[in-house]
Amino acid sequence: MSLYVIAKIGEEEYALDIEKVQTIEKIMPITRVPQSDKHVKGVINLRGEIIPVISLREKLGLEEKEYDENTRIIVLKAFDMLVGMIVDNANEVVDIAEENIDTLTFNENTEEFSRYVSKVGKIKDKVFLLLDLKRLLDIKV
Amino acid sequence: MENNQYIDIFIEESQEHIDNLNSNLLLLEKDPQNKQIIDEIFRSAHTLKGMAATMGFENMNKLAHKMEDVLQEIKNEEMSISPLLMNILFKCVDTLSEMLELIARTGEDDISIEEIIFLLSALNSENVKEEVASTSVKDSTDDIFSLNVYEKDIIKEAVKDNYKAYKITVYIDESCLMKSARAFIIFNSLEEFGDIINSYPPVEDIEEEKFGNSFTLHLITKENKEYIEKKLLSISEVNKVEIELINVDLGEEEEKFIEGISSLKSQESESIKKSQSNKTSKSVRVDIDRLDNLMNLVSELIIIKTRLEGLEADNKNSETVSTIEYLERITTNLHDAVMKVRMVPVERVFNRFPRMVRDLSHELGKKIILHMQGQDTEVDRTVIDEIGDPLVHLLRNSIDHGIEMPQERLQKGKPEQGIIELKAYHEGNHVIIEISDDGRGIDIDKVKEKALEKGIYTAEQVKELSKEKAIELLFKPGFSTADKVTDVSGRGVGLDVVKNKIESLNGSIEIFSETNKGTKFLIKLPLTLAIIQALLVKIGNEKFAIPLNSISEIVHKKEEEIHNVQGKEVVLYRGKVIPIIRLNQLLDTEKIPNNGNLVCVIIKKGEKLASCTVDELIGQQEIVIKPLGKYLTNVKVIAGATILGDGQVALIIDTNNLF
Repeated sequence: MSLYVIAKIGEEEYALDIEKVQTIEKIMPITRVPQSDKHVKGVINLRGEIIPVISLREKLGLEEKEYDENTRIIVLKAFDMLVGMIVDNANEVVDIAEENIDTLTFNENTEEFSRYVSKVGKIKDKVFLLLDLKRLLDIKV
Repeated sequence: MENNQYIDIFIEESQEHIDNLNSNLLLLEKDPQNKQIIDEIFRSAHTLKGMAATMGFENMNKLAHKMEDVLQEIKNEEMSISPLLMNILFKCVDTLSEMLELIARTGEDDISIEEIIFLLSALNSENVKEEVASTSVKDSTDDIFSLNVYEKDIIKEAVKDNYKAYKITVYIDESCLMKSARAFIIFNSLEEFGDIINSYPPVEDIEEEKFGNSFTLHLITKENKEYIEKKLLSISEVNKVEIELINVDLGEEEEKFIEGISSLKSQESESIKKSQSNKTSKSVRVDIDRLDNLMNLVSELIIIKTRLEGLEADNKNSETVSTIEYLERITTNLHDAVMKVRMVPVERVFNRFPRMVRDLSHELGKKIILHMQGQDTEVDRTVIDEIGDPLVHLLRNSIDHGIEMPQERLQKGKPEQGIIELKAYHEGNHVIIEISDDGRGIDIDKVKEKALEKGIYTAEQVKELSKEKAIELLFKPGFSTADKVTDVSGRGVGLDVVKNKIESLNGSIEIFSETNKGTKFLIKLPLTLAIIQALLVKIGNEKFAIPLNSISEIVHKKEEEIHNVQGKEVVLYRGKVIPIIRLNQLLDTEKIPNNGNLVCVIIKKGEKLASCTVDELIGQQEIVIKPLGKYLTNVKVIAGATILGDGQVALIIDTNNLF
């Protein structure tokens, strides 16, 4: 059994391995970092620690959306670094059984988001897209 | 491995002992008669042996053990100190150090030690006349297991009657289930042809199975070594047997005399030990991460304090005001205290230099003395970790290029021995490290020649080149005046790398040189990298920090003073034409109308100057540098971030990358 945090972007539901999630924060002031990639929104001060923040929408090639009271920063701890990820909402944790996770096969470069989604999980008739953090955070190797 | 949690401590402590061995061996080389140094070396080797054995590093254990044997003989004056011996001992330490590195990397100590063991054994057997198994120490006072006077008497009496005394160590198979029973069998079979004088652990403990996989005992018998060995190995579950002949042939009086001395010595060494243990009991080993954490918390506290001070302005209550003032004093003190904890003496880096100088000067056939001063000067840990390599470069330079060969020095009327001085001291908020030699100095003409050859300057320019400018050339990449490339240096990589490294630490380096008098490198480093003085500025509507030590001045200029030269904007500053960097363009911030007035922050990098335009000056402030995080490593213009009093994040501009 593995638990996943559900991040919402519009109607789509993305699943993140709960082990990798450090904390989920409400939106807070973000300091822009010049000369960085478009999806990098800047850095935040999370209780004294400086953490880079990226927009999942931008990363997936979607339109940006105004931040509101539902907007969340999911702080991920993966590959020895901390990265915040802005999502429309995150207020659910689900348990997806191993046998209900399927690996997808996409053509390379079909759609932006398919590069970051390699698996889908099912609970009854609901489908969750499992984010591939390695690709999402541009980890080489 | 189950010992995993101890491995870090093991590595650190072993490193200390290896450093100790190195420096003490150097001392011993200079003062071979000094017993105290030998004792110190012996102690380090002994501790290393013990630690390696506990952690299960067999090779390391063996090597340290062997070293201990040789040292024991030196201690007993059975072996004299020769250059050959010293070299072998140094080699041992090197091997140990290699092992430690390997252990740190892979957790194994798989380095072949046969050669070095062979060398050590050769030393041993040369000096030991009797047929003695050369593997272990003969009746040493440091040995846990030794004979008391009474037992020695028995042995002496027995030896007179043609008996022989042996020290036997029996290793029982690890998987043995009833070790005490096995031990009982061993004891019985030994009693068949000899007498057991004593054992370690004592018989009672062995009966209660209070021992590891081995025990040691003294036996008197008429049989020879081979016989005993054969007997013991025929018992099942006995893995290994170490047998060694004991010599107790000292005359009575002589022995008493020696005992007297050794008791004196042991008192002495005990008092040394005591003073040492006093020292150690007062210090605690702390993981650097914990200190960083503590530092972070203190920084947080300072930030909150600043915020509270902001609120104080609105508050007229004198009680609150004085409380906040008190809080301020405490946080300042706390901050200083934590900073001090992170400080480490430069000794940590200097330690390895005497050895390096010795080896290099031997290799090059030069005679060099290294004088060190101010090893206890303290610098922040972050700086210490970084300055090692640059210093090594500079020292190598001095040894290879600076100091002349002995004949050459004599011809010049200098003493045969060259002197290299390494000094460290505090100066304000900086630490200064000086490396000077009394060698040949920098050959300015040769530098000029090289500059011409490399096409850096034209013939005319070279003629007018000042000495300072010429020396400056040495910091150019790929510039080396060495006639031949040696192993040591002269490949043209070095000084530029050194300079870059030091500048990346917010430090600076200068060279002073006089022909035939010597060269001096002066390195200036900040005490810490974690907290700096910075100028806060507004660019667009965003706040940025510029490190104060890279700012040379702040001036006001008018828009019409800016000229366009070859498509680049420049401005005249103190008779020099320097480039203008419009930070709002570079950092892509909102453009704020300036009415033709520009605030220019003049920044410097070595000799180079540039003028950065900002929109508003906020003021000078002490800031805590925090990294942007691994995810954002490719942002060149930003060196890090800091948290301001109101919790906002301000980015720190990396001025070195603006040029």
